[in-house]
Amino acid sequence: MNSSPSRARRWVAAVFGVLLHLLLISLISFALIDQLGPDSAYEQLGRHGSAEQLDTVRQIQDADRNLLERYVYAVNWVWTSRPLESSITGLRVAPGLWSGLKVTAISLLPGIVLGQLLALGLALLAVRFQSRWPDHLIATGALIVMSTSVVILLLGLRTMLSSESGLGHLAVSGWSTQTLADALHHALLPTLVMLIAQLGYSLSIYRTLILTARQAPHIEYLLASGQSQWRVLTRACLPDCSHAIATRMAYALPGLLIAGSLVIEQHLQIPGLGSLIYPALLSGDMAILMPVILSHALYFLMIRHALHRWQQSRFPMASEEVWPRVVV
Amino acid sequence: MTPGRWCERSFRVLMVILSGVLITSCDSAGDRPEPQNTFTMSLDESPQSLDPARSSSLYDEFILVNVYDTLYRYKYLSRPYALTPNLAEAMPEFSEDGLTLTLRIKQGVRFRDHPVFDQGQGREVTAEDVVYSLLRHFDPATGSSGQWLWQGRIAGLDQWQQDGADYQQPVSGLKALDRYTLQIGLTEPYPQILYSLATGYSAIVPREAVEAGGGLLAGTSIGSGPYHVESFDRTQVTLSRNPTYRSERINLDDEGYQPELHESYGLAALEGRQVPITDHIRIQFSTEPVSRWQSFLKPDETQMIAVPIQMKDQVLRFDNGLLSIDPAFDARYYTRLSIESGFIHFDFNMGNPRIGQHQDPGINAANQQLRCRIRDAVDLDEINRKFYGGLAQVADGVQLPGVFEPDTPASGDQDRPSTALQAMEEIDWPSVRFGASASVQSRQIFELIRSRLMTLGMPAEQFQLELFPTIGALYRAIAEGEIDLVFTAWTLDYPDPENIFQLFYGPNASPGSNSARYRNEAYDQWFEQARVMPDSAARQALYQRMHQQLQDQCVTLASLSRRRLYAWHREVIAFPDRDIVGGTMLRFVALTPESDPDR
Repeated sequence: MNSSPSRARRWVAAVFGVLLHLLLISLISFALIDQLGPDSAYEQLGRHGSAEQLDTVRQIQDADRNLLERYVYAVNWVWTSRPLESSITGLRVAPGLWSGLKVTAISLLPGIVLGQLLALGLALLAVRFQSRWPDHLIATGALIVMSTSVVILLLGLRTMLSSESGLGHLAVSGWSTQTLADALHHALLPTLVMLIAQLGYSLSIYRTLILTARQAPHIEYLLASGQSQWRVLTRACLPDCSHAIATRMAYALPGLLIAGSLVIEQHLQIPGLGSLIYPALLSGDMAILMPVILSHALYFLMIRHALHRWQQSRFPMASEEVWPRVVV
Repeated sequence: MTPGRWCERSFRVLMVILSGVLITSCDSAGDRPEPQNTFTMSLDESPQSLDPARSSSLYDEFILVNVYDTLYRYKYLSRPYALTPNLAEAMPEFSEDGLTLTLRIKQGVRFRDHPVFDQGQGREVTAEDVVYSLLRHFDPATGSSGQWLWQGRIAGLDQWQQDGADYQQPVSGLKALDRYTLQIGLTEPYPQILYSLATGYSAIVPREAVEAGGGLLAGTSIGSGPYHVESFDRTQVTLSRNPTYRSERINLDDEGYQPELHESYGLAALEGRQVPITDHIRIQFSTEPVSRWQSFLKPDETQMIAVPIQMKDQVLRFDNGLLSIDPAFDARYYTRLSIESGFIHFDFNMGNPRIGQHQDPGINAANQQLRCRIRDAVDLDEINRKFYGGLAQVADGVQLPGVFEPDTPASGDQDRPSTALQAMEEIDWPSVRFGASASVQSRQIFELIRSRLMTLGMPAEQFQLELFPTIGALYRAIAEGEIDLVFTAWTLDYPDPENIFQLFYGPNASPGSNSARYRNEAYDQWFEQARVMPDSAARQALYQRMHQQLQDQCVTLASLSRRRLYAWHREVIAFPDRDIVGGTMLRFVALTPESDPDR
């Protein structure tokens, strides 16, 4: 009987915390883009605009209202049924973002996932052969990959695998998922680039985490008791640092997706999220940017919550409250 | 659950999700054209919107003229450019005072089938649709960027806008006399109106599509043009033949065919063919030149490109000053070198009293002298060699072959850059801000000009660079007088000198097209006289005077017209053009029988 009011209070606090978090993030982002970003009225009218036309366009864009009013208008699609349309192109935003997300998921997500798994595998291998030649080889490879610009990597791989002067097996640019073969023809290059580009960083972090976990007394005991190195690493070390690894993976995912889509999609003419976000950033198109910002913030809240719940299940005394701590 | 199990289960779930995404995102094969029936090309920028009222660049226009009808269009092969009826039955009849034009549109032309129409069947295009499509630009809710074409020109249109843009209210200068007859009343003679009726802005849209809302027109097409949009995003557009397009056959003589110019491209084979010839067209938008080039070299990707200037050495040879195509390249591809319909120019900020116009005649003269020295010091030939591969055409002042060329070369000796590079003594150098769109090339051109000005004695810190991430940001800076020398380019909206000289017409001062913010009473009067005159010697004389005045007062540092080198695969029969004819050429593109299984 005593727990109900307490749980209700916690829920209210959690909901309030989430809303406050989203409000602050979106308001700050809106204010920064609004004040420092480009004037979208000029973008829309081009070089033939007159002062009167600029005024008209600004009126349509609510530029004569104050910042707070404009912010409320920019996010009121959340609670109204107003269909969101790009202020520059007039295109509907929701179908565009959904389609972009699907393309980005196909073109970049496999590379990210495979890259993380490969990094994990190589990190285990490096720890298994610590200070021996496989460890040195992996460390050197990671260093080279980390030092190489993504654009250079992309150009190099494209010349080797796609161009007429190279193997010419993959598409140089463009996108098609008409058939599975088409999808592979177009998605393999971005997958490879994404896989290699993040490998070095992830590998270095995972190696450090696993190595640290291996120093624990119970692991030393297991090793001393004669169990095989592989068995101890995979059955004991890896689970011990699984929370840290999952945290790194989950928090890195949106950054990798957005950065990857801005660079890789731009170069390969892939119609993913980057092809929407990049021009929207340049033209200050709030109708596209605000849903992305809000989704981004919401994703981190959800992930933080999920990771926290997991942590709580492993270490019950670590913390009691979840949502309020997220924002306070 | 143990962490190990959790990881294992998560991995499985992730793999299932990834496979699901991959499989569900694969479209059914029947929805898309087969590659063999498709002509593919690339452009270096993407269109912003497919709504004619929202279009603002030649990339938008390139698509629009294919999916919508305009009353007139440019002849495919005629140079200088010439108009021909498109949706209109014939060229219009002008009243004696030149203030009224009457034209009839073709009967039986239909919008393509779409759910916005009753029972999903496209209805007939009428003169009312033309009226509605033009009125839309004056409806503030549209936010049109094409209003300038008819503002102050069509009687009653501006007033209609001020009265609230009520579509039920008639406009005195824009009437549908009957289902197929349109009458346009002008406030003053406007010979360029025919050109305006060939632009993408004048594309004819059905009212139902606009009223359906939801930005429908921005991403698709509901027009009566030869193609319709199959899919569109920021990276590519796919067009498919409009099955309800009217039956029209190609008459090469009418299109301006000249055997000596066109025969080698195989264009004679187009005679009598029905347009559009190719079923599907895919246009990729790629800002990255290496990507465009590598894609073009593959036999199964891009079939036509404008060769990026960085790749010119792989295509062109300069032997003893003579330009030729590399024989190996020539054997594999068609090529065509064509001058752009526009030019690059560097405008001084004439609104800044430190460098531009000044009420005090003495200061005004000193400023003019300073501008002329700066202009003369900058070697456009050097810019051409270093940044445009020596392919551009450098001219004295604003001019363009086939549109406007001065009778006599501008005053001054031919070796101005070298004679100008004598240090100017006792000058209080003003701070000059050089503005351009952000790019490596803009920065390099700035450095080149700065080195020249330093030779004149200008302190390096007095010449500053301002780069802008977007064209809109640059325009705003110009309008607010933040830039003293702006590096910009102009592509003609239509091939008429009026479209060149309006760049310096006072009322067009930025935020309009007059980036120099130049205001001169005599110039404005000449311009106002010339723009209402039909093409004649008297009109030409006025433009000559305007040209001379711009040169004498050193308003702009101009001009440099780039040449575009088009290359296309041998299986494609085409005569590429990106500027004035633009996308209109797509309906005439044919694939040779070997590459077209349907023939």
